[in-house]
Amino acid sequence: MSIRVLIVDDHAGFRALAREVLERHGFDVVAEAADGASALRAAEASRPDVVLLDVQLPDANGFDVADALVAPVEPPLVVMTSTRDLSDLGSRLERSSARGFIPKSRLSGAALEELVRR
Amino acid sequence: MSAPTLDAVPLRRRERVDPLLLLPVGAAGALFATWWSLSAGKSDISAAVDLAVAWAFVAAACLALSKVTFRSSGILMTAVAASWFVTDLQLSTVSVLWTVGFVFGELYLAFLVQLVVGFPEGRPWSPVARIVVASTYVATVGLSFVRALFYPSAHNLLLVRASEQRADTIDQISAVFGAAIAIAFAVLVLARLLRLRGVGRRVAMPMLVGALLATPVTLVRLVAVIQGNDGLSDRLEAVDRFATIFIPLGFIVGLGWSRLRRVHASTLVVELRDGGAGTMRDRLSRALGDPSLEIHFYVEHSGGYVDSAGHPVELANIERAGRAVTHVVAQGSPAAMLVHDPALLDEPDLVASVRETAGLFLENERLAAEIRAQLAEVQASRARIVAAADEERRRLERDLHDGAQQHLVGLSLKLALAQIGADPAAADAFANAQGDLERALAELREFARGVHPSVLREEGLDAGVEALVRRTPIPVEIVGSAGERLPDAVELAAYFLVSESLANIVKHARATHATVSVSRAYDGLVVVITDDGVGGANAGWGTGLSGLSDRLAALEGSLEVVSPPGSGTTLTARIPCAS
Repeated sequence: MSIRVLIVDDHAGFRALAREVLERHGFDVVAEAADGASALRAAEASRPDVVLLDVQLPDANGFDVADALVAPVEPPLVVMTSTRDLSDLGSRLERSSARGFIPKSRLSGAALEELVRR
Repeated sequence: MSAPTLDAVPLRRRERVDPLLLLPVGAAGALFATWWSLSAGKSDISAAVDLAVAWAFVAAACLALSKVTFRSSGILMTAVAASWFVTDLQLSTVSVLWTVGFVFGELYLAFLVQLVVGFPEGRPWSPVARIVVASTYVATVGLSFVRALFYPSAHNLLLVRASEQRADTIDQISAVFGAAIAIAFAVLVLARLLRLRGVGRRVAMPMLVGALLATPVTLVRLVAVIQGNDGLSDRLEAVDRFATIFIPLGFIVGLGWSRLRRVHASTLVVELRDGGAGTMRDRLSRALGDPSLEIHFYVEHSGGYVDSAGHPVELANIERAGRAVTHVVAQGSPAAMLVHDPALLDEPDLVASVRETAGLFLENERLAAEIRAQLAEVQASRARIVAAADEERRRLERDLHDGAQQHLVGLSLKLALAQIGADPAAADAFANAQGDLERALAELREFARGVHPSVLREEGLDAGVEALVRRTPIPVEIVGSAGERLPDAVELAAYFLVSESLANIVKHARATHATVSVSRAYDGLVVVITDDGVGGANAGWGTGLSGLSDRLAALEGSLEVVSPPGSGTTLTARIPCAS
């Protein structure tokens, strides 16, 4: 059974491309959300295995959303993404409950799978 | 905005009956009361004591009523003098007079307490003082009235049920109550004495000391009443009433003392010209005998006033603090504003001559204050320019992130998709293009970071410094922390300083190790960057550092570079900020 993914990003263009990239690789993109609040609702409704989460959302900091997403009993695995690169994030990634980080420009099914299987 | 004119000088004198009229009227009234009480059987010694005290109060009241600041006190002194002989009405055989004398005989004590614990403003000093005043009215008039309901006397019009025992009990209750009030009164007066400063102290101290001297006698007499020692309490009564004289005498002494300490108006010019050490403020303060004196200078181009450090002065604050203001003119235009103790307004001649002459000596200090005010304005405008430039940088970074970077990221993903299922040659070309695009994106990110680092905006200075250190190819140790978020301009200045310094260390210093220390001082932020490199750093290291000192100067900060050849480099920046 394929891995179920929720994509959270405020740019619709990126969400469409990310969906295509991940589905070509065999992931099952079950939902998309454009901000932190709808991400939490979508995660509740569709129970994804993985959440691909933008660091900078219009209504919240992505890391705060990541912490909220892993609060339930069977939390999804959260992977952060951003136009910026890792060194722009300070030590926030290590301190967060996210599994890892993929720069948007290097998003691929293989990269996500590697983080998920780790 | 136009400057306050000279008409704004408080001139609170109003036409009224000349208070000097009180002197003959009061003196004659006291004489009449004394003659009457002597003929009704009062002892010679009591009559003499009462006359002396009454005259002292009449004299003090005349002086007080002729001064604006002591008007309310003057009215209360008049009230004390007028009620002083009421108790003698008990010598009368006319029932109405006897009853009035019985009930209101101690009313003068209430006026007296109100006079002292509200001196010189005429309002009780504190809520506690207000309670003491109200209690005195209750203890004197209120309890006397209740006592009259039982006191057996043929002349008592208020008698309901004659009972000597009840009357005595009430007398003792009122003595206990009175003793408590006397103690509270003494504590209030003592606390006030310890707090008073300057002109106010000179004026009020003798009278408050007088009040303190009078209190123990009252207290001893009340204790005698409580113990039922009638002989002692009767003998002490005359002494107690005589001790009251310290209060009007203290007032008269205080008034004379405060006048003696002040220079005469005609010698003021000499005092100001040759008045010894210190600034003009110190000389004026000495000449006027007011240590609290402040001078604010008129600034022509803003039409307002600044203090000697050049900071603008709010007129409303001065008024709220209950301070008096006198405007000084020089050659017909405003020069300065003296903020002083309102008690000085009682010397209109002195204040007027200060207004006319001080301007001649203040011009230099006024010009210096004006230049300081202009410098402060330039400083503020420089800080605003930097803040505006920072805001512009922030907007630019956001536009880059939301615009070009998003498009390039999209393009990169499209190239990745195109590689899937393409023939090997095409896939290779796509992969190459994706690599080029990745480098372009990295350069764009680097550029955006230099414009306005997003990590600083979102996570603060500590995270910003950490991100910088991660990108530095030599080991860098971070010491300390900025703690909570600081103003944007401060964080940016500190960040750019660390960024520029680390870049210089990598480029020029040939260092193997560096340390970045960030700490909070009581008045701001201290950033220290050291390395173990070749030293010899100077402004030639690039335009970066001189641009940074401009940025720091706009925040009134400083940058110090210590870089002896061969011994590494230490940069120390201090950035003031309110914490």
